[in-house]
Amino acid sequence: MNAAGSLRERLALLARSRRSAFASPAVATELLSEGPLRPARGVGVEEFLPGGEHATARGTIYVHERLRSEIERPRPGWGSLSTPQNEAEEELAELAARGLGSVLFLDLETGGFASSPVFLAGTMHWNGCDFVIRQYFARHYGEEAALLAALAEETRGFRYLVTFNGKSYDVPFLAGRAVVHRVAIDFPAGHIDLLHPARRRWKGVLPNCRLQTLELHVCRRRRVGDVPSEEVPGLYHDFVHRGDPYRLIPVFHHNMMDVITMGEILRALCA
Amino acid sequence: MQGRPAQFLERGSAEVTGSPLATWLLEFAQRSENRGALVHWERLPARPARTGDLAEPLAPPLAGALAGRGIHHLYTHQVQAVEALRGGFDTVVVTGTASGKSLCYHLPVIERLMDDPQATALYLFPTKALAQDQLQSLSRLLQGHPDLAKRVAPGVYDGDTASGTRRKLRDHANLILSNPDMLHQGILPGHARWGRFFRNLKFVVIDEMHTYRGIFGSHVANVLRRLERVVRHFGGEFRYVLCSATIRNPGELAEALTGRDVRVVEDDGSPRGEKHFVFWNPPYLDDTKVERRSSNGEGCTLFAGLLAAGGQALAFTKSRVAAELVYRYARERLERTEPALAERIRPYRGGYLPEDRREIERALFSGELRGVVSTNALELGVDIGGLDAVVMIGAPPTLASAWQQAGRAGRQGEPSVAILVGYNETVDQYLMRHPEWFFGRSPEAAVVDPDNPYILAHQLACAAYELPLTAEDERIFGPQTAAILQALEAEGETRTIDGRSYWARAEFPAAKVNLRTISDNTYTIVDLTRQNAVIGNVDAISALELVYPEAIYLHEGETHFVRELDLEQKVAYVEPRQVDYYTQPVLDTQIRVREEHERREWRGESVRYGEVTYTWQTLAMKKIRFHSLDAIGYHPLALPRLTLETTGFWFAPGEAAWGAAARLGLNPVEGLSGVRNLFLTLLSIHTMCDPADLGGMIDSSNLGRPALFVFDRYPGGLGFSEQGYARLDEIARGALEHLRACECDGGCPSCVGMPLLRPAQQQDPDLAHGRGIPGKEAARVLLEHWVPGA
Repeated sequence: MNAAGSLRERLALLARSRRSAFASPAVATELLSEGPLRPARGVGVEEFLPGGEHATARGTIYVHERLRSEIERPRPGWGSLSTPQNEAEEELAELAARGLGSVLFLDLETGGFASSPVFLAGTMHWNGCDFVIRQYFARHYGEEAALLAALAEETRGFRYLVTFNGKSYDVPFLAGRAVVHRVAIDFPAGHIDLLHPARRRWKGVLPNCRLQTLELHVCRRRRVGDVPSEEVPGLYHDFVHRGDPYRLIPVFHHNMMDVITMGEILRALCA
Repeated sequence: MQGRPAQFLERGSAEVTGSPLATWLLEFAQRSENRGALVHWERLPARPARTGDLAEPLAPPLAGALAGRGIHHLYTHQVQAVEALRGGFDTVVVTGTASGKSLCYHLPVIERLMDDPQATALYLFPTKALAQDQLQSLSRLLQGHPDLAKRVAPGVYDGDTASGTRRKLRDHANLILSNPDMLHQGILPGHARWGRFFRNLKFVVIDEMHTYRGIFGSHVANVLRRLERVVRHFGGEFRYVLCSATIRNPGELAEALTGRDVRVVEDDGSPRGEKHFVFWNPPYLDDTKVERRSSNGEGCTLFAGLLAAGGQALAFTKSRVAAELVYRYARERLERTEPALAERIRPYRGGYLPEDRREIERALFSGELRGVVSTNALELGVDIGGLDAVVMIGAPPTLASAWQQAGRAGRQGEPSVAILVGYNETVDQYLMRHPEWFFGRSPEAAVVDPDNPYILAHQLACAAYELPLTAEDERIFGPQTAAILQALEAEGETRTIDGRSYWARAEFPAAKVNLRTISDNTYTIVDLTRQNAVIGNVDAISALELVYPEAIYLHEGETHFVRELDLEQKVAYVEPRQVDYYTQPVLDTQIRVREEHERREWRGESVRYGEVTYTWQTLAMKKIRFHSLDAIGYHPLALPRLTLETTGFWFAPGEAAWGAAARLGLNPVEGLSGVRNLFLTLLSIHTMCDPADLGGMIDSSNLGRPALFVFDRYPGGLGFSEQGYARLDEIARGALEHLRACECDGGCPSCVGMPLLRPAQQQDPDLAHGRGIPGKEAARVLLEHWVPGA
């Protein structure tokens, strides 16, 4: 916390008024109360990311929904999975047998630390002919509970959750936030964390198994101007303060690309 | 009881029968070469144990485990504590050392954990070392019965705990031992993973409560507020058990820390053997009466003599260097006179490795070791059993400390001896002349101010990060909560939406808030000749005064030469080397005005308030020969300057004030020193901080004339000196009143002298040239000049 000039001045004033017999305390009796933030220029994320409000038992959040075919040209067979070459990958084989329709891909954007909020949950699923990408977005801190409630609903329809490093990060993080907000999330019975089979398949072949390395080699796609992960939390806090969606759009894009890449990696592993 | 020494020495022999050590001491004091050294002998009578019975007896496994450790009855205070906690009251237990305090919390906690398999308990200790010690003693207790070990799964959770262990403890442990810093930065910010533990939390134990005072205590009070809030969020509800050494205001402190009504248990039923408390002032070297014999030497002689007379003894020293020196001297002496004993003494201090410390404690407890020379590290906690004698070489900084140290002497019901050896400096010499000041005073009050706006601002940021703040939280954090939140909001640190204030920055607030004024960085000390084996450690600030390059570092009494000090890696490389000298750092402290914010006219003086930088640096080292204490060398060093940037006020008294003193033949600078001490005392009372939280010095380099500087000992300042600046009249009037009311003749530690010393530098106190206590007269004249008619 930086002790900038005006903060110190206010605290000094408070310190003095504590002792002064005469001064009435410079204290407000209520906290500043504001409704959900109005974007500064009247432009919200909805201008750039088509979607709408979604109501849950815990309030409303914003959902941006797209079909993958709007972003990429559909590849032949991109909705089907074959049996994995590696026979040892039993879980993958089971998943492939059940089909892509049983899978929900998930990737989170958060404030970065243990008790910081999750603000963007990117999901993707196969609806039989296309991939549906849904990004649940908390427009301010008060919508996090609704985001968790919406995710709880979404995950119910699927047999498998597919993540990248989700066993160590995304799922425990969500579980923690769910505990704090008292939202019940029943995660799907199966969870494939692609990091592990990816390592088994490509370790020694690729320089590392980071998602974007895999993206480059497996999907043959290199991102340009992608937002660095360290900057993500700051961009979100800025958005909540100022309501300007421009700088937040790259975060949505980054999240979307992550989820799409996960889809490609699963397909590559089940080929 | 308090006889004048000469009378006692003649009459005394009857009073010391039954105590071979007291008998020896009396005889030793009567030797011609020691004439005049014994300046006071206080006989504290024995008191028998007082026990009681619980309304409902302890469950058989517990009772059995206690019996296995030789405990068949509970003392009155233990009974009262257990009953209070069974009755659902928050409780603070205030008793002396070796009174079985920890059973006051172990018993109710273990009972509860046995009754309720889901229940959990949290123990907090001020240091990691204490937590480890208590884990050992708790484990020993639990091993006393298989049922106990099955039901109670304790573990230490702190910065040193491996991550795999952390997960296991969070998920499965029902008793966790930790410290406030870990709670603040590790546990509370990650509370989602502690759901189970917090939901079922039944007890929070705060041991050594008296250490939570001043700035540190104020921060900890807020950390506890945050704990309460998070636990409540998970639906848990717990009782506090606090344990404290004797201070003047235990109930008040407990309530300020916990925000609850706390029941005070002080009926100490533990037995006390007769104690002979002796003050020993080393005699003058010769008739010029300028220099006294070395206090380290006197202490060493007494220590060795007590051992030779058959006792088990502990010597406390004021600094690490002194502990090493006294041990070394004692060993040399015993090698000549009682070789069998020479092997059975050891030195002890915080910087030794934990396993070495455990070994020494164990050996002391079992009697294998006959004597230990220690710093105040052995003052707290750790059960080493009672010893026959304690020698305090130099007066500890507070009365509470002194009684804690003296309390280490005394086996169950046996007579014991405590000797205070004075150094030839200010406060010690005052005590030697006025023992009634020591025995007559009640111990200090411990003060905290959890609602200090600067501290509260830091802590509310952390709280907002953990869970958004609402109007409800005003009940926990106090009436200034809303105003401070507004201030944080204006800075963009938080954002309030629908009445809830969320943390709105990408930073982790707890990382930037230090509960203590000094950071916890440590240096390791490695031995080059043993494949860089780690032999000890030392905090970063002391490192620059103890293991600077070419220093002679004493470890277990052996001389080591410091080859290199790596400031980046925080490692000191040493090698054993036989030398006949040791080294002492020459320190330089400075204060610089960084920026003036305000100035005002006060009683003819121009007083300024603003930002100051206080720095200290090891400039050079002196080589000192053992025993003779001759200085045989002086070498400049190039070491970094340590800095504290803070706020303070200052003024340089003008001609009028100066003249008022000079005209009466008094030294105005001396007067200003006395005023400094009085101002710090008064300011700490008025601003509810600890005197150790303030700093003051007389400096001429900034304004060209001697000026008094008063500043907060905390980065950025906490508003203390700021208040002093605003309330100079009050402070000066209070100072004058205090001075006039003091019954001393020319000055004493209560008025113009420094009543509380700074934590000891890494110096040998024998070499310190004590300045006298500033004259009362000169200070009075200055104050009367400023506030006449007061």
